[in-house]
Amino acid sequence: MLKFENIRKVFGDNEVLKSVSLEVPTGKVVVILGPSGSGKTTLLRCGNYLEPPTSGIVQLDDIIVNRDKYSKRQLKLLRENCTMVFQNYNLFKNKSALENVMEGLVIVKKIKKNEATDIAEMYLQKVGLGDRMDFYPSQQSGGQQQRVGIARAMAMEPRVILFDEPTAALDPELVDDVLEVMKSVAEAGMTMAVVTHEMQFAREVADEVVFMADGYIVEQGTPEDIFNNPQQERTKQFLTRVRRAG
Amino acid sequence: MYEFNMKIFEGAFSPIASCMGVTLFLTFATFIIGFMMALAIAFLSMSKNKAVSAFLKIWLSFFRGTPLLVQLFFFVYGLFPNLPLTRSMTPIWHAIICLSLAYSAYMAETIRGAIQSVDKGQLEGCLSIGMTYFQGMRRIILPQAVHYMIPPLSNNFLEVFKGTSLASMVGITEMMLKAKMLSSRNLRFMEIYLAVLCIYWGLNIIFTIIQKYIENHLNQKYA
Repeated sequence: MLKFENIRKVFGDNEVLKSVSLEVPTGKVVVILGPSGSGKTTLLRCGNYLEPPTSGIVQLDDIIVNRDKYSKRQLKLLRENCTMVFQNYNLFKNKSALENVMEGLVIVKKIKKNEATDIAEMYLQKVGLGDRMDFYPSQQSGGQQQRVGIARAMAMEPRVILFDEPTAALDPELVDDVLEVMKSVAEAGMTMAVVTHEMQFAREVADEVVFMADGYIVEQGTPEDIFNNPQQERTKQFLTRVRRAG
Repeated sequence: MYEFNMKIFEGAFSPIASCMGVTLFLTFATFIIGFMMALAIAFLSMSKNKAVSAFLKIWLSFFRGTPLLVQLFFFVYGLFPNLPLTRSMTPIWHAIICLSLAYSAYMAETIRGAIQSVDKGQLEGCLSIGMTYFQGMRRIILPQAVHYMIPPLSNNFLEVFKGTSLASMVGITEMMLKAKMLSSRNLRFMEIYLAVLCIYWGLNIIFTIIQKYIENHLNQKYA
């Protein structure tokens, strides 16, 4: 389980996260929705400390990273077990798809190259890119790059994968392929925390939906609760606007 | 009316070129050592430590703000022969260290700029799978930064190459000093110095062709 405990984040004068607490239970998919500026991406990035919180605790099972006192080793363990898929893919531009997926296995997990190659090939086949393993990111479409990004995150065999608006930068035709891959990752039992604007995905795949605004959690519940029976006015406003736009 | 003597001009090439090895040695040694110093400076310049920043500011101001010729006189004739660490080195190494210190101050800016040109997301990608900052730098960021570094570093290299001629002023027998010695014997300044200019020019053209080849080769990968 990934646990956010009283996470506060301040940028200068701006309190972007106001003491947020959230649990992502093992094997479950938590989708975080909200308008821009709500703090949802910042919260996600606190999960693997790409954004160190100003205060609070991030806990992944037995790995505890307390902002006031944490060791480098705990941080490294957190990042090895809590990987991320980025809106802009962040694939290593100087490495092929296969090398991208292998990198963490060889360098971080210290797996032998042969074995790492086999593992990487398997994950690339899982995301439908078995025939494009030697291509560089610049030679792949956005959807293909994102699927490599998902394979790279999965290959580390983490306990949690964080998805930061994974389809936001994609052309509409490419979004479905990526969402399908994400669905299969969820079906395989991976613990996932997903920030997205894809409401249909949230309805179909999420175990829990969390609505954030202005740096705090406004409301959370099952997709059924949130989409069909929102309690808070702010949530209702957001969903109405989204329906109008969609 | 000065009569240009073709025979003297042509005859100057061979003796001057015999010192090409020294010029090239000075060039490559300075460039390589200077580059390593520049790497260190570039990384230090990205540190948030106030003492480090202040020290670097003074260091870079000194080496960029004083004439290279004067630096050579100070280090080769003054400091290095008297420092325990460098006392036992030969003068050519004193010259190389001084030139390296001087040119590293310029190359550091090239390196820092190139590293910062690499998309920040690359480092986030590294960290997100548990790589350390240094692993990320070494395996992902620096190799990409090299691509951005090649054009400006090639210019730095050519500056180093031309700058080695100043070592003639502190007694290092490279091409320029050889030319000086020749011309002081026969007083045919125009022919001798034109010859040495032609050699520098020719080598410069060769280096430029190699630089273009390397740039094209690297562009294929990142196109």
